[in-house]
Amino acid sequence: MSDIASIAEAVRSGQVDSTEPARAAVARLHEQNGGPQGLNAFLAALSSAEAAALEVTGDPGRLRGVPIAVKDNMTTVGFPTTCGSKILEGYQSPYEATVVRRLREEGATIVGKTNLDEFAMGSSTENSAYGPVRNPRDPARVPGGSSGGSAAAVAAGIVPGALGSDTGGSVRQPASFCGVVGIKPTYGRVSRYGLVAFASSLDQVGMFGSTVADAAELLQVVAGHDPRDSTSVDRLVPDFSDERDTGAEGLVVGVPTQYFGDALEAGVQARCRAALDALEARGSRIREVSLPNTPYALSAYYVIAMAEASSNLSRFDGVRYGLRDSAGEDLGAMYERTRTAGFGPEVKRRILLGTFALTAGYHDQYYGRAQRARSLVSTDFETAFGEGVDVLFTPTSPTVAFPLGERVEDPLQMYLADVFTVTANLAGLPAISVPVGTSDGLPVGGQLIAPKWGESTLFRAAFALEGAMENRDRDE
Amino acid sequence: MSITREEILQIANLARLRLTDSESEALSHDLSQILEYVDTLASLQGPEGERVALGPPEAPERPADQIPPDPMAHPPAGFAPEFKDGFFVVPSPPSLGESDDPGGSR
Repeated sequence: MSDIASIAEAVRSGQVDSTEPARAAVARLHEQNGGPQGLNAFLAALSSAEAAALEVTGDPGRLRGVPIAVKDNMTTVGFPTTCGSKILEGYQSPYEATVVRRLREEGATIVGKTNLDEFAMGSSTENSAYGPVRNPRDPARVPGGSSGGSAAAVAAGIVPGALGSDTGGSVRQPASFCGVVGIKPTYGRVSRYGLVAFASSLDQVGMFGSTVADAAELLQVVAGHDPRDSTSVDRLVPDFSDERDTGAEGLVVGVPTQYFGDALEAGVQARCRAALDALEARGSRIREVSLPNTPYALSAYYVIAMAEASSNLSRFDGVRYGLRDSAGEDLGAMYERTRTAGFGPEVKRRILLGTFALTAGYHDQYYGRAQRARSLVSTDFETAFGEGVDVLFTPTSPTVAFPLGERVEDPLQMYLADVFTVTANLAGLPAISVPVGTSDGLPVGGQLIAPKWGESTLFRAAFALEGAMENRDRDE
Repeated sequence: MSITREEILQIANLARLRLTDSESEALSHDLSQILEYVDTLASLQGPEGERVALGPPEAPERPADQIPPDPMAHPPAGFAPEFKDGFFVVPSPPSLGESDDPGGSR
């Protein structure tokens, strides 16, 4: 009983007590999280005593009794919200994120807050002020990032599902590295009220599960308009489970040539080609397509994300919340001392680069061009989907999980880990990473990208891909 | 594009960050490397004047009515570094000098 549907059904039928799954999850969490070789996937969690005293009350919701983990950049009442930063150490939010509230309203138990790259800035979860997260598939390697704690928690079987946030691939890339499913919905599909902002035109809440069905179930619960978030869109949320048995027959899968170049590890390339073969064998039509402006995407992404981050993070100045370091000086000095003491090296690097890109002398050269590139990347997708392609298939990441410490001193190499995922954020499209096998024993993820609001098509393809991979593994 | 240590210090001042000599040296190297990569944007094809609408790909709908804020689980005194009589308390701005109020300026 490790998936959301089985747990919910066992609780619903009375087969297990409604608090038992959460108690068991907390026991697993404390067993696997701490110590020198522990995962360090959780920054805060229910204690064993709190878990023993749990009561699940109210109407039976569709997630009644299901233990869920939440990335620590979403506000929660009852757990601190640190964003993996010293500047918010111990910070208790006075309100709860809409996505967390919706999970609780459906009966889910939030068992803990997961570790992340500080303010979600990173691709390996090594930038947390509270130490790196280990990959459950190989503890000497990174779990990906920035939602590495959530991905690791699901991959280790501590919880069946978790929330993350995805600004440039921060759900899909760790899902790929840890061998689980991770989805980033369409921009506007899910409320971001209570998600601490990194880059507001790119941020979106995403979900992890060990299966496509679990990711779909979590999205089903949290999706929908929220008047408290002016970027959430009032639009019908389809029933994603309808796509479970639709199959791959007749699905037109576009394969962008720009994603299968030299930068791709041979093992990742082989698993992705095999996945395409498996889909084709099940009746999908595979068609090569071109997204010619892809080479500009990563540059555009980093300029835009850092510019927005420099603005969003200006609120952390020691006045209203979090750390204050005043040491008897004046207001300006307090701002500087607080921010200097509270932010880690990667956050400072991004704030500085973002500030630079927005200065009068360089605005057009960097920010202006990046916005133009963003438009061209979006147009590429519209053209491909307009020519009859239902979904696009790409590798989620050019490599498998890399060793801890390998890239931490080389920011540019770290940024390149996002090269296949940032495009969906730039264009606001839904995308999902599904495990497609292993290379040298490490998980490989295949990414599916659908048109805007096309989550149903995305899940249809994801269910089909998951089924094709299961059958192929069985055949092998 | 390379960025000098002096420019780094100027930007840090704008971003309200203090850097040590070794930090500014390292950041000068890192940011120059990143900007060199980002300079690929200079070869973008297409009309020079073409610009994109800022923000999300689809204009979001704004709620018709004012949405009341969530009731707070605890008041600002529970999360602010210093809070008194309904105000966030901060040190004096530089131009005003020392405040007579031991609680600071408001």
